[in-house]
Amino acid sequence: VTRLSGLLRPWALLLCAGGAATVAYHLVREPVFQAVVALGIVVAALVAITVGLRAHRPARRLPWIILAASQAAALGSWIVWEHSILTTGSSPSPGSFEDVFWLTSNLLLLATASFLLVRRQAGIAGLLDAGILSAGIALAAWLFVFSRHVEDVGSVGLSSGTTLTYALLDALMLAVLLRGMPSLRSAPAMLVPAAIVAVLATDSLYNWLAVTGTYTPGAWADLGWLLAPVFLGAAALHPAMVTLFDRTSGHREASPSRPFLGLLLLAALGAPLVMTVELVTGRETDSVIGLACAVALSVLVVVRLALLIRRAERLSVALRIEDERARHLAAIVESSNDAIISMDSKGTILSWNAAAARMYGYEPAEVVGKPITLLVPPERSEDPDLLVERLEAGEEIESYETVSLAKDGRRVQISLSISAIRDVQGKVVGLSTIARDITERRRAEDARQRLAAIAEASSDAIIGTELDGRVVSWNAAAEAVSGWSAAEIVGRNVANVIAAERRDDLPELLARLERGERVISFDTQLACKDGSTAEISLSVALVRDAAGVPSGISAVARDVTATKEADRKLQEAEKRYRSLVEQLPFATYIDSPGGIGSSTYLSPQIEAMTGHAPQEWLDDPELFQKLLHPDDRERVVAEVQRATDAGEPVLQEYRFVARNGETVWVRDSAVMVRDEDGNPAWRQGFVIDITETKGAEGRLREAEARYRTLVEQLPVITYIDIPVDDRGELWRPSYVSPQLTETLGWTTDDWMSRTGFYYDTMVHPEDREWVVAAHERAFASESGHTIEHRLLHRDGSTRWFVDQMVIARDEHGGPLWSQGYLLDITERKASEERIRLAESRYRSLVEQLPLVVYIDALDEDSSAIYMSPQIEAMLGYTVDEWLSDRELFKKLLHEDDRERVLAEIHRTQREELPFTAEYRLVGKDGRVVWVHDEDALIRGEDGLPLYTQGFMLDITNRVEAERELERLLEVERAHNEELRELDGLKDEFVALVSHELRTPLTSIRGYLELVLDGEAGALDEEQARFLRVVERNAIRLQGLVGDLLFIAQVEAGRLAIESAPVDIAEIVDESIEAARPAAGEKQLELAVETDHLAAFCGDRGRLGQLLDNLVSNAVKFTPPGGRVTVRAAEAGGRLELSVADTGIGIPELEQGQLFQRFFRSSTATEQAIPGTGLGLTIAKAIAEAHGGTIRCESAEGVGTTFTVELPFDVDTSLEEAA
Amino acid sequence: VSAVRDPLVLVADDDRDILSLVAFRLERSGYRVVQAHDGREALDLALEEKPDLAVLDLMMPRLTGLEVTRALRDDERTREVPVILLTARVQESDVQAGFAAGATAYVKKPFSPQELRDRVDALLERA
Repeated sequence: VTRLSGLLRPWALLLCAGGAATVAYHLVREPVFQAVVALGIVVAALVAITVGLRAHRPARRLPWIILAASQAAALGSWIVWEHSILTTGSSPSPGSFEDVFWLTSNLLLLATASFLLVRRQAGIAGLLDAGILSAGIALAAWLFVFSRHVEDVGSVGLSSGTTLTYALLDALMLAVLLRGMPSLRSAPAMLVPAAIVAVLATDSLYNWLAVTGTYTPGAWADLGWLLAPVFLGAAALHPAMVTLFDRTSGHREASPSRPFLGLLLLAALGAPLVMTVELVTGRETDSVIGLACAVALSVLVVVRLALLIRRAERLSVALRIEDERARHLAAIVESSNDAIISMDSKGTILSWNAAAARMYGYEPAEVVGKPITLLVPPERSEDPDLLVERLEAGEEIESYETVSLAKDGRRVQISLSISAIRDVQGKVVGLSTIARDITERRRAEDARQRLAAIAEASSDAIIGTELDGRVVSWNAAAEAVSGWSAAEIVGRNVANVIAAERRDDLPELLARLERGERVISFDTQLACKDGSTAEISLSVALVRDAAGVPSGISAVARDVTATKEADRKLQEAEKRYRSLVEQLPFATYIDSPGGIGSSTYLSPQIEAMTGHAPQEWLDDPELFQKLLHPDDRERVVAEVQRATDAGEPVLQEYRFVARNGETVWVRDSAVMVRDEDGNPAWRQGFVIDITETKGAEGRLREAEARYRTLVEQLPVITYIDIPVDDRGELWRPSYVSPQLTETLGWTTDDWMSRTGFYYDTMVHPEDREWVVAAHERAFASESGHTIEHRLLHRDGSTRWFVDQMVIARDEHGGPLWSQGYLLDITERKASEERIRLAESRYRSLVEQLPLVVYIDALDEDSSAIYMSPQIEAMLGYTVDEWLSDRELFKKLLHEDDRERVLAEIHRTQREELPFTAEYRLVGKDGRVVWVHDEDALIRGEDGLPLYTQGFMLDITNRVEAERELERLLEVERAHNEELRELDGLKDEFVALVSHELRTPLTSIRGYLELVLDGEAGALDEEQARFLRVVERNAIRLQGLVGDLLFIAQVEAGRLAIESAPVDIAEIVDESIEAARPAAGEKQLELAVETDHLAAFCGDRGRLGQLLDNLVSNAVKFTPPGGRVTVRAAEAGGRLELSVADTGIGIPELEQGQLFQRFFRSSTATEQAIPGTGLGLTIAKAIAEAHGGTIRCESAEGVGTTFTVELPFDVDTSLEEAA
Repeated sequence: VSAVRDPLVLVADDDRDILSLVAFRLERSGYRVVQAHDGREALDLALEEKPDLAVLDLMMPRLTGLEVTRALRDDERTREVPVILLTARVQESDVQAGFAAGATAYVKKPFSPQELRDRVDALLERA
């Protein structure tokens, strides 16, 4: 239906009808019919254009008016044409009026087309185009007019040429059409050009047919002429017809300039006019006009072309630059190492460069068009929204570090830079994202930090340098070794810290590194900051960068100064001694204390003696015995064994059987060397070949000389004394080695001068006495002695020596000689002294502490090894008494504590736990002392328990203070107990009073009421009056009982108040009413001033009681004729109740006591105003139970005002406060 | 003799004066009254006579008013009988205990005989 109704639209209807008529024209070859159809079609088109015109605004009508004029001319042409055909049977001859109409029609059609052209361009170019068009039209028209003159000339070629003017005109129309072709979006936009094309095609066809002479009127060749008006008419009826000539690219409304319109008219109508004039008058005009038109046309075309070329050039340059830039940008994006991704504002990916493909594993084709969330890991899903928010707020996002997800699920650490792409209005239309993969950087950074931490913490110096030796890292250990801090060294050449004499090492080191070696333990020296050098052992490696190119050197340096030094000294010493020993003319040996065959060293001389090398001796422990001469073997072995067991020197002569079978006599002399504790360490001795001596005593001296050589090289002073008498009581010096002079400054001559010299001059005077005695004892003994004492240097200084002496005796025990040595032990003594000093310092510290410090042995009794002297002040026993009596501690323990403390000591000892206890000791004077005792087990370096050490603190004062406190607390507790009992009694009393007083009151008031009510018969007036007095006093008594109970409750902290909404105004009224009888008796005025009050929460009964008390007081204390005013108001969030009177007032001195219970003012007692002195106490308690206050202002003789302030919001916690 | 008998009120108090005062007032007001001198007697009488209302003193020998009230509430026959407690105590806790035991109302000593009668009237809906 829609499609059908579409066909019913006028323009479509016209199109269909026109088409049908055209078909009919072709099929029915009847000239009259054809004439009717042709004219009908043109008339219809004319009507359609006229109708269409009226439907539109006048401003847009101009092109369509011209079209209408064109069709009007076409109608004229058709009329002449058909008339000629119907009357003559052939088409009109050239140059007839038909040509005038036709020319007019086509030129106007062309003018219409020029509108299409003009609306496409503005300014000078448009004007030029219109000018070209107009000049072209004019030229064609003039050529057409001119053609007849050409025919007159009779040239066939020229005639044909001018006939082609038809085609030329049509070609112009085509050019115009192409130039001004609008987009074919609406029906008019298609139909108008279609009409022009139809005319063009038909004209061209007609020309060709006319020239060849094969044209017949009314045949199919006319169809185009018929379709053209149909198309134009339909276009004019189409609703969109007005838009056809609207400017689409320009900014101005389509309003052709006046010169343009003038030219157009001139061109369109000039030729037909001239032709008409010629036809009517039969006169011919000149061809000058045609020529002028041609010239104008050429000029205009050249100018227009120049303009076009210039513009085209400019355009092409601009385009080339733009193109180049785009290509560069694309290349940059594509070659970037960072992923560059652009997306639209919804996050859809629009572009994806090669780096992005590498980073995420997606090819561009896979992701373009997908959402960016593809790359966002689930835990970061909120990130994109947050980022977009920031961007929209105008922020640029730079180096935002986050994590994204690659195609294979990898997490990629990225640093993002995002910028928003905005349109002209500044709205975000897309995002461009640059993502840099920082996974490796992060990992490398972590690794680097770990390595740096290791390097820094290393106890070895770690140094990093560039290839040229510039230091780039220098750790703490390097600083510790060299004294140079990193700040001082980094950036400087490493050669600066190598000791000057070792700098040549560096090139060698580099060379080795470059050969690819890894240098380990390269020893060199470091120049330290303090000027010393440090021996270091270097491990050096070349650092290579990722590409394998050496980029630096790393070195680990270990400080080996101490090790080196020690090694060097040791080696030196050993070398010295060994070479010495091995040059001696006898064999030296060292045995371990084990006995025979346990040698650990033998000097090579043994080989010359026995033919067996030292190694053979060491390898075969039995060799010694094997080599012994069978006759000597038993004796020698026994003697060695004995001497070993006894720890005595060995001196004996025996025979070896050498390898070559010869018997060798030797003298073997050895001594046991002991360690500091006196245990045997090793035995050293020497074996001298005495074969010759044995044979020839003459060689003895030689041997002695050798001996002497040895002795005099030892680092001790050696001496020999010989006895003067047979019994060995008197000795004289026989020999002293020259070391005496070196060591003590005395000459050997001094020594030898006399026996007494040594004792008188060299021995330290303080040691002299006992040294002499020791020597006497030693000479009398078997074995000699070893003593330590001081000797004086010749320069007067004191040195410590150890003097070891042995006495050689003959078979009968007679002394042969004594020999010994003096060894300088000053150093050892000095260090012992230092230790002693240190100990005495600590001891004096310990002995000044205000407590007793002790050290106990780990025996059964824990007997004291050390006890600091403070013990005497504490217990009266001296340190000596403690150390001598192992049982003293047990004896002094207080008998009540003894068992407990001893058990605890045993337990902690057994379990090796620290001991802590507080107990009593009984001092010498019988005083009991409380002590705090703590001790702990001390272990040696081997972990074995050594002893216990601890301290005892006198805590008697503290314990007594605690005891006193405890006692006081006990008293306090008892006191509290009594108070509690009393309190209970009071409660019981209150309950009793409450019951026992109220019950009789009930009876009194009840029966009075019955009597007064006349239940017991009528009363006379006097009886009634008396009974009312009784009743009034019963009521007073009841009130008194109530008040007393109330006070009791308050004091017991049992006053409970209710909390419910209370109408304050009502309470005030009730109090006034209750007071009214009493007030009336005294002619008092009672006034109430109540504001409108907010709801108040409280205890209605208690508040009433409070107000009653205040009002009745006011009434009582106000003389007749006075005034009592009760006010209730809200002030500062509090309820303010006040009762003011004009009474006698309260003396100022008494105002402070007003609220004390049973207090009665002096004025009250003087004037005998009755009362109990409880009313105000109760009022105060009630006010405070409500969280409020009560105060009094009074002036004697003027009046008194009591004011109660209560908070509106009573905190429940305050309710109990009474 | 009226078809509807006057309501029966049990009054219990160990104080004879108060007992006869209350009894006098109630009898004058048209109630029948049975009197008990201690809690035990009050409970026995209540179960025997099934009164329409009981006025019990709180402090009585043998059984206290509270105990009697509880016993009345526990017994099928007397469960619905209104109980007025007479108390010389003023503590809120005493009042609470009374209601917890099942008392219908309480009157504080000292009271006026008329006030008590008004309460009885109200509970038995006799205006």
